Amino acid sequence: MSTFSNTSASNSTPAGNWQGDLLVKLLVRDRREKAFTDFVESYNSLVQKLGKFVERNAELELSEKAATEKHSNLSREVEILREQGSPSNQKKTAELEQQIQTLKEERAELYKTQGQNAQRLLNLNDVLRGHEDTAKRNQEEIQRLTELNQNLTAKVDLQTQVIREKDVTIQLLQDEHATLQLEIGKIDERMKDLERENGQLLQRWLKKMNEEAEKMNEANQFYESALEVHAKALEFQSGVVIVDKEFTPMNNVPKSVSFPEAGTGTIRTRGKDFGPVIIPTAMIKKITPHDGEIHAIASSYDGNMFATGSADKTIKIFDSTTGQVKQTLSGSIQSIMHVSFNNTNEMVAGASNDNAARLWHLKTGRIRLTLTGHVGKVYSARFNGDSTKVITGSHDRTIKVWDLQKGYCIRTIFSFSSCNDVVPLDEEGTTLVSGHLDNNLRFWDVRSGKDIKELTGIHLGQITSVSVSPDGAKVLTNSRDNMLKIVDLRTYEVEQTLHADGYKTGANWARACFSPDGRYVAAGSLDGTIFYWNIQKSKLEKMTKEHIAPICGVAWSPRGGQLFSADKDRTVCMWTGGLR
Amino acid sequence: MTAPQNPITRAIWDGTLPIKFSLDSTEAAELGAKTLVEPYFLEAPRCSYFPLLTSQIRKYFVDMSLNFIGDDAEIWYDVDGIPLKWHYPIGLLYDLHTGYRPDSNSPPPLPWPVTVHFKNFPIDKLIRAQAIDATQDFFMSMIKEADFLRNGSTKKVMNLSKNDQTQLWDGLWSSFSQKYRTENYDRFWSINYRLVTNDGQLPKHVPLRIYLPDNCPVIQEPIAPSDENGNQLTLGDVLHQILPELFPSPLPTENAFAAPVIHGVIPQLNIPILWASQNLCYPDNFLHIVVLLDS
Repeated sequence: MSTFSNTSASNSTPAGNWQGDLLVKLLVRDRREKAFTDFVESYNSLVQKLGKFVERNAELELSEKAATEKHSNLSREVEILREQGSPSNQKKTAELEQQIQTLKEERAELYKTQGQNAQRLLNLNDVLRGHEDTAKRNQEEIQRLTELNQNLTAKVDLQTQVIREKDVTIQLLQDEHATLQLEIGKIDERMKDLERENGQLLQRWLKKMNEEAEKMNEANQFYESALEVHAKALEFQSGVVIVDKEFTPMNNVPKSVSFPEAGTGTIRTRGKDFGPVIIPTAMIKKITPHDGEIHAIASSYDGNMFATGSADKTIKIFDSTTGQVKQTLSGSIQSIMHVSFNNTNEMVAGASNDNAARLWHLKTGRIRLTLTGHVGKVYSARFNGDSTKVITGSHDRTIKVWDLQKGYCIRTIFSFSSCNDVVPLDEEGTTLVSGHLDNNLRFWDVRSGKDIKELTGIHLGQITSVSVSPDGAKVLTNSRDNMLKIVDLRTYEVEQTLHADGYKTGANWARACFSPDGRYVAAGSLDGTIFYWNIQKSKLEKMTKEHIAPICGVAWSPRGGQLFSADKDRTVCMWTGGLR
Repeated sequence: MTAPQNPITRAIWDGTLPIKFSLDSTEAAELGAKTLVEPYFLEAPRCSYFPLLTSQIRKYFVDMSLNFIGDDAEIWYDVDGIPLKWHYPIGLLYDLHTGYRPDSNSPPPLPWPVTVHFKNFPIDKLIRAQAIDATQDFFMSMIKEADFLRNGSTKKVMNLSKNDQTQLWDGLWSSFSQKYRTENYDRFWSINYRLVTNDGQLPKHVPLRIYLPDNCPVIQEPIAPSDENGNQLTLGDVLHQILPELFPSPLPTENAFAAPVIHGVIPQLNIPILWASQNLCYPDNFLHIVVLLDS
């Protein structure tokens, strides 16, 4: 502060009179610029008042608006009240309206119930009507039934009457019946007496028959023993001892007579005479006629010739006494599997691997007939009894029957399995027996072409040959199971099984055969031995060894004492048991 | 410390200007004024700032049924099309824009006609943030700048207590009503006295600014209060130093080109610059000198 006053004090010189000058200037300025002060003040106060008035105005407007609103609300309320009356009135009106509402509802309910009741009434009426109808119907029914009842009672009365009448008739009939019964009784007695007499007569007759049969048996035995003795004598002469010491006459069942087939006791034979049968043990000739393996050997029905069939496609005919080759039959394209003579010994049948069988005429030596038709190798060809037909069995699983006059196949039988051998069982050749690759033996009827019987399980290997016994009652089967079986033709049962140590079947077409009297069976073995079995005793009788190769077939001459055998090594042996 | 009862400072503090605020006519229609809105007359202190008047002006115009809902920062003023810089004191703006030489015989342009705008703030010409807070910040920064110029640091100002700083501003701000003027003067000058007298120390530089007409850039140069010899510089010396073409000589009598105007008066040129800075400064501690040319 002191500084301030100092400064002011020091500047009192004219040059420094600026302070005073400044002050004067400022005063002038203020006078000038503050001229309007009062004016502005008044102005501002007016503005303020104005502002206040504006506010007030605004407020008044607001209040006015509020007032008008209220006024309008009140007038509205008045209107409402005028319309609806005071609140109390309103309440009353509301209540009344509610009451009205409830009453209306009640009324509606009542109408509904009324409606329902009416409906029920209608329903009940309907039901009632329905019941009335049923009642009526029942009434009618009852009436009908009563009528029916009456009818029935009437009928019943009628029936009772009828019954009564019937009773009477019955009575009569019963009386008659009684009388007849008495008669019958009497007749029965008479019949019994007659029967007794009949029985007695029958017995006497039977006794007579038995006596006769016994006589026959004795005669047979005597004859057989005579033969035996003769045979023994021959054997004795030849120096070979094969003696049937235990020959008993009653072993041959088919030869005995049995009730009731009391006949002559004869058995069907081939009707050929045959010489005394002894086992041929002596080899008289050994020949090697063929260039190829021999597959078949057969003897003619008169025993003068025998034939061999070979792999060199020829059949050679030999004289059975000398063993010379009489004829060579050729014409086959493949090897011959089987040869057989016909019953007149004029023709030879050869079954060949070229699926054909050929018939040669022996007088000319030429082929008479070629039977083609098989589609497989023909393993067997035979003539039937009267040489009208030829039967062939083939590996095409068929057996064909050929008619020689017509010259073609008349019957083809499908034999299920390849046929190794087939033999006719009777003269005309209507029944056949065949042995097959499937180890089975089958019997066929040619006329129908169907099989009669199939024997399975008799062999365990394929059947290589089938031969029929001279009496036609048995069949001999040779098989690769190294056993021979004899089957009875009537019962189809295996009668005997023949086997031996060392006996092995030589080939798939190895042939065994019966002796002409049916007592022995000969078969050739794998090692070349020929085995002989006695059938009656069913045991091995003899073995002869000459061949060294497997034997393909043996053929016993019907003359009884000769046997022909052939082996794979092209050798043929002729055996005999009798005198040279 | 009580304020000095210097009549000069008192006169400066009490200086007022009547201002006539008219609403921009185009805006009036836009803002829903149905009738003509009368202009508003206000007596504003020379030392105050326009933003401090804005709320009152706004209230008036809104009361006059103007639909303005916006920030006070949108409101701006212009004189003859030139937007007024709101960070200049009102007195300075009047002297600068009217260019009235107090020594002339023509009537002064009073009340000062200012157009109020509520829209279209000219961002390119004015800085925004006209709110009172910004004004206060600017005011305080001017005081700091003055202190810096005086002492080379703002230590003095910064060391003032918060209360004292508030006193400075409040003193200025609430200087509207007449009845508080005296109180406010005391309030303000009790603090300011310390600043301007610089506690007896000689200031390094004198905080002053020189304004030239026609949008010339403001001149602010560091002026030492005494020259090399220790003599105190006068106002003339300073003006001669800064504007040699306009003030060919520091002596008062021979300058016919231009004259300085401070607070609406033309002072003698032999006033010591230091005394001028201490007594003739505006509340922001700056000596704003408007130089008007001789017409």
